[in-house]
Amino acid sequence: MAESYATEAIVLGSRRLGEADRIVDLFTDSRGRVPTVVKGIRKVKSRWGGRLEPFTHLRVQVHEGRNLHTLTSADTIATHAALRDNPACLKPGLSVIEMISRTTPEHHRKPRTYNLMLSFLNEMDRICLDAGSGRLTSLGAGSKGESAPSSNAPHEAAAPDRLRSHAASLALGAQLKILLLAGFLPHLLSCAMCGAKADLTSFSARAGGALCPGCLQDGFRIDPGSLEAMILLLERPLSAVPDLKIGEVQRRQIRRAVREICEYHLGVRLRVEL
Amino acid sequence: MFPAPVEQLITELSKLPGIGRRSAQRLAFYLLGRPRDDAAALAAAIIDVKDKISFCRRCFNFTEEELCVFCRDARRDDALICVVEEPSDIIPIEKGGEYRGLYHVLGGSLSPLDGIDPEHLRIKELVERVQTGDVAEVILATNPNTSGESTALYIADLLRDKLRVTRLASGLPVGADLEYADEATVSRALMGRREL
Repeated sequence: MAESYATEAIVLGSRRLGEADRIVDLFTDSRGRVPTVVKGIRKVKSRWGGRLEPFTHLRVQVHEGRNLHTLTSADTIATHAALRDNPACLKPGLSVIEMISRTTPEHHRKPRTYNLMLSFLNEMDRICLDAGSGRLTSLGAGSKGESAPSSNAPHEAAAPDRLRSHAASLALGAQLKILLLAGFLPHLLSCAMCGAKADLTSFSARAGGALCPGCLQDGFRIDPGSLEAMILLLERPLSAVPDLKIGEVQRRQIRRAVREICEYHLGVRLRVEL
Repeated sequence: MFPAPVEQLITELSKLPGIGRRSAQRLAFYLLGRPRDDAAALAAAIIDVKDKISFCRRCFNFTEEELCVFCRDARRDDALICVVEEPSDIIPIEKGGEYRGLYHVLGGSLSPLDGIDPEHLRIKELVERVQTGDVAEVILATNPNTSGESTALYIADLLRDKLRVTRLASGLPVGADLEYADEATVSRALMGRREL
């Protein structure tokens, strides 16, 4: 018999359904990823308002249906709006959502991945606020005399490069940890083929990790610094990631490694660029 | 289960957005029960709309001619362009009766998760329009959701140095009670507050 249940959830995304409804992809604490019908959400005076935008952390009540579940109530725990409205953080945030959406099966409880996602959202909020984004200022402050109405565009200050690089590193840290929790941790400390510990110069998803020049197969060249950064991202908590010095080249190589692991081992092609 | 022509009709109807197989069956049997003239009128209307309607050369709204009704209307203010996601978004703005400028239809919104990047939308055409025309202000009227906001921010970054770029206000709907507003909407309403 169909019944209702209450759980905490993070909104991953949604797609349109019929005239005014949506199917919202909820990543729940107790049941993993659950696609849930939300009735009337697209109407201007919908009671759901902006509660079901991506990244929002909610307490929800869901009614189990034969095929799809239906949302019956939602209370916001945290909106994580700074992350959503900041161009420097949006794509890194979406890249983690994509990773969870496309690598996590429906209705499989993943409490550690759920907690990881919560930590990621909280850290992203923290770096946004540290960068001065998302704070309400007095109407007179700074904008007096300006002709263009600008106060309605939230967090519109130009995103500093530092925030952009911190957000991208945090997203990579979260993605590597998701791979670890899913059982697809690449071999990074020695050659994945022969076990040699020195001179690791390439990375192959097919081989399962880093490779020495003698075992180089179909991988791509990778800097030792990128391998070290991957190890640090896996070892350190997300709160320590912004303090790590990870360069643009290293991030690009780590992203490529993550992408190739997903393609080769999970059959998933990631679309969102950092 | 059904004769082949009925199956064919159900299959075609179930390709429509929001129509599942069961709804398609209901529609098919409704059409079977109608006079032949009604069915012919529906079929002719579908063919007609496909043959006669295309995109406006300037704003990409639907039109029967080279330019749409708004782009052809000399009384409209061509210094104002309102950017919308889909042609259907023009209807509520026109019903509001406040806006007398022109439009630009993007054909969607940025959605990296769905693989929709700037080159898939008519953003390049908007920038060209702004550069070649005598435009004073672009109003970004994309939907107030995550993909709509990111599209607005992307376009604002491209155009900010060239002209005035504004965004539709978002906040509490007229006639609603503050008590029932959600946190995200109240935050937006606070950020978009105005002096009285």
